[in-house]
Amino acid sequence: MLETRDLTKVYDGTILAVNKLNVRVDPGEIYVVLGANGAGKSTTISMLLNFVDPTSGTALVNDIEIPKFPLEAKKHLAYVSENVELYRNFTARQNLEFFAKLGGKKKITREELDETLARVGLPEDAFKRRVKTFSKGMRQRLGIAIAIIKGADAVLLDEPTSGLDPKGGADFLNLLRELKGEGKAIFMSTHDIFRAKEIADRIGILVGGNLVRELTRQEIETEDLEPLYLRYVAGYESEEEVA
Amino acid sequence: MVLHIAKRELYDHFNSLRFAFTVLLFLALMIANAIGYFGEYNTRLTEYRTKVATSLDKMKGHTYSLFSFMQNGPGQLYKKPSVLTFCADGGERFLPEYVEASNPTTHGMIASWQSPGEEPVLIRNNWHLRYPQSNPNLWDITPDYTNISWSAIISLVLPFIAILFTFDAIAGEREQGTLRLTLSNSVARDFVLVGKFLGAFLSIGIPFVIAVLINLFLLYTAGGVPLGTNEWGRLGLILLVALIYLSIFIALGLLVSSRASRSSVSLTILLLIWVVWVVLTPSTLGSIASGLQPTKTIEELNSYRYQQRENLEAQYPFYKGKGPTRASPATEETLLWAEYVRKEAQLNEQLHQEHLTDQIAQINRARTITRISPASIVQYTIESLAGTGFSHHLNFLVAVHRYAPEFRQFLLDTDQADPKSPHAPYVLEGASELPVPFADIPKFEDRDRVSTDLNAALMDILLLVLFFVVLSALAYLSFLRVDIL
Repeated sequence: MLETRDLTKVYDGTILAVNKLNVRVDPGEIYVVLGANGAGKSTTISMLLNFVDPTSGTALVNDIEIPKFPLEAKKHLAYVSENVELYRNFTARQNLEFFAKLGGKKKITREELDETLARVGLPEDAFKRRVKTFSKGMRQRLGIAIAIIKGADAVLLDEPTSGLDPKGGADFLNLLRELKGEGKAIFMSTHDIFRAKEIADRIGILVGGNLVRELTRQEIETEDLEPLYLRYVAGYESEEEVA
Repeated sequence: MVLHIAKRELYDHFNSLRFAFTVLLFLALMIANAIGYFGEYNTRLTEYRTKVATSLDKMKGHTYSLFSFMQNGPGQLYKKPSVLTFCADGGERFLPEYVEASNPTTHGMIASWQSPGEEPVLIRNNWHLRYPQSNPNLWDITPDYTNISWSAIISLVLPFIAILFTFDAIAGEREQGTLRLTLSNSVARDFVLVGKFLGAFLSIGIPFVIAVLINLFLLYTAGGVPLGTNEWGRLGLILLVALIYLSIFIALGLLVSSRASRSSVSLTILLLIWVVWVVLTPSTLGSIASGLQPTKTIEELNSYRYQQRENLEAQYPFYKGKGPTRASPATEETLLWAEYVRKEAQLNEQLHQEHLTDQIAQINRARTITRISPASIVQYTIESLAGTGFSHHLNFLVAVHRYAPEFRQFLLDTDQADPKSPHAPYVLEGASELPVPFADIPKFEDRDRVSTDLNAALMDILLLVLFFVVLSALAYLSFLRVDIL
């Protein structure tokens, strides 16, 4: 379970990046944060990973306070970034093994590595290829493989589908569904409304660091998400007015 | 976890172009060093032995009388060449290779006169220590690029290579995005830093040590360099110092890389630091520091010396009175003349010693100031450990200053042992006339002084360790506090 409590970040004392964010993602749930560039999505993920200290508030994973116990908390977190950048001179297998060990796996067999790579849809001939020859889609798959092999309870994804072709994007969402089926709490940021609508159990709309609206699965299916999102992003109406 | 990260770093480095460049560079430089110093030690040792033998032959020529020794002294006292000159030349070419322990005048006369109807009186002066300004055989003062010493390789090349391996260690990973992925795991930042440190240290250290071993193999087998236990011990310490020095620049690279936004910025800053801190500081700061408090000019020195001699002469108004005689026990005149000659030699020695002390103080001031750069510190440390350069020269002077009174005392004791002597040996008339057995005369030998060299190097080694600790702490704090965006 992943949770933020009044999570706030102010850069240099003046720039409000995230304002009192309260979100809870349960096991087996996919929570998508929708927002434009600069809305505070990446800062939120950075705070969840303790890359950036929150100005106030806190975040928890499996009831462990992330800012207080970052190393313990990160055992329960996996991360996939927008552009999964891996060690370019390493093969897919070597990258996976390196990050698996970094993630806490003491011993890992070649079979486990290959199984995970196959599971995310990487062709077998790519296992021993250097990552510098990979397309973005292949790197995203490898990124998911790294998250899978870690076996963390919560997965954070920062714009993971941006730049993927339609098939790549669809395959990626299928992988997320599998993770959801395994009971992972998935927190994904994106500005891709269509994929958010397709995959999310809940959607939060973030504008200027404020969570202006939260939609349930039922609302996602019934509401016309695009104009709603655009209205918020464009800042035409305040949350109260919409409500 | 640290080893896991270090292993990845090693793999990455071993597959990089910079690693291949480093291996080739170290090999080329160390082989060039070995070739440059092939036979060098044997040549220097042969020259040294020849000069010592000539000096001893000259000494043998004075054994016919004790006064001859009082007048001429033991002759030139030579500095022994170090076996490890290839490690650090230490500007040996610019340092005097001997101390003159002889009489500066050809006939050695202070005064001479002849009163009508009497025998002529000759007052001869005694020997004293004098210090040549530089190697008199040195005609070419241009830098010698054919002989690249370990010291040059270590002080200049090692930091450059450390920069090449660390400028992108953190900045590069941040740009690439792999740092976020790494730190999204339960890995402490200090583990990442230590892993990166170890990766760079081993990637540079391993080819460096291999190149050093090849260099030593060549010098030992074909270069005529005899390496005994003492030399191996010294070489081990030099290698240790080189690795501490390497660590300083790896820590610096990590510090700058953790602060810089891009690896290109990090590289630019580090190269600038290298040029200023490693290349320019030791030479320019040394020259500036020497100029701050210059020693006396030749004119000032001569005038000062003249004044001091005048003062001495003024104390002995008998200057052209009665001369010394052979009477035993010695007459008052003989004793006074003996005292005057002794004081004159003492004053001469003191004047030379004062100038030498000024010069040494000036050099030490410059060396102290240049210690702001670890490149200078490492050069001084290697010189001390190799037994070359200024530190070796100071040790040699200490040995000379220990030997000179021993030699004088021997002459006085020999004179005292002769019952026929008037026992005023500083003048011919007051000295024993018996020959001096050559075998009994104390001979000067410049010996290897391991403990003195180690003591001289110890403070510098501690300074290097201090630099490393400070830079590592700064790199650690910097990386710990930096936001990973």
